[in-house]
Amino acid sequence: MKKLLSLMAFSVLSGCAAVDAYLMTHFDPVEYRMITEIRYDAHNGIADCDDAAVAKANANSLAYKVGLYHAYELDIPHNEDSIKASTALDEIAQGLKTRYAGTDKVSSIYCKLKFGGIESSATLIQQVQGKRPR
Amino acid sequence: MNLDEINHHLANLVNSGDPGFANAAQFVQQVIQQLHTGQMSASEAQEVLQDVQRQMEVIQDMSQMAMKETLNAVINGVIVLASAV
Repeated sequence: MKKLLSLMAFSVLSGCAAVDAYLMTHFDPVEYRMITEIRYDAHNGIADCDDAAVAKANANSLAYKVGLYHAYELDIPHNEDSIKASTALDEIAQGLKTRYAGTDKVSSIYCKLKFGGIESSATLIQQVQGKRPR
Repeated sequence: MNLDEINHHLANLVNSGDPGFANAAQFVQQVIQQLHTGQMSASEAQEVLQDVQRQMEVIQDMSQMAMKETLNAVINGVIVLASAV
């Protein structure tokens, strides 16, 4: 029986996906804290979108936090999925910051959709990263 | 692709029965509406729609990771079983 189970484990591990899964990065409380903060700030930022000055400050702060989170993810080994997701999230957040840095008026609906988009992506990332193996 | 074809495809996606695709299609419809009513500039609408593609990338990446988490739990379970026998 032991031999059979060991054989099963070996045959499972012989696949690339299985190796990736076995070696995957474990739960990281710093990473989890960062993505939770991004989710929370993005959610709260939606309410301030009608006040351009406050919305701009929120956008800059959120873009900084997402950029920091992305930089944190980049060099963690066996972390390809999170690196790709944080890259996409960073692109969304930097777009928001860039628009507020420009001279054109930023619409309230754009602001709400951007903060909402960051919130929904951050929520999904948080949920999945929270289930990383301990 | 012209606007009629876009609206046709969006309607198909809304009625596809897949909640993920239906929500995304409804979102695109809302952006088009806001663009027409002047609530959002063309440049803003373009960026928000590009964000939908970025969000789909996040969904795909996190789906992959969730599968790996499940597989990791299974592998560890088999290893524990094998060592206990």
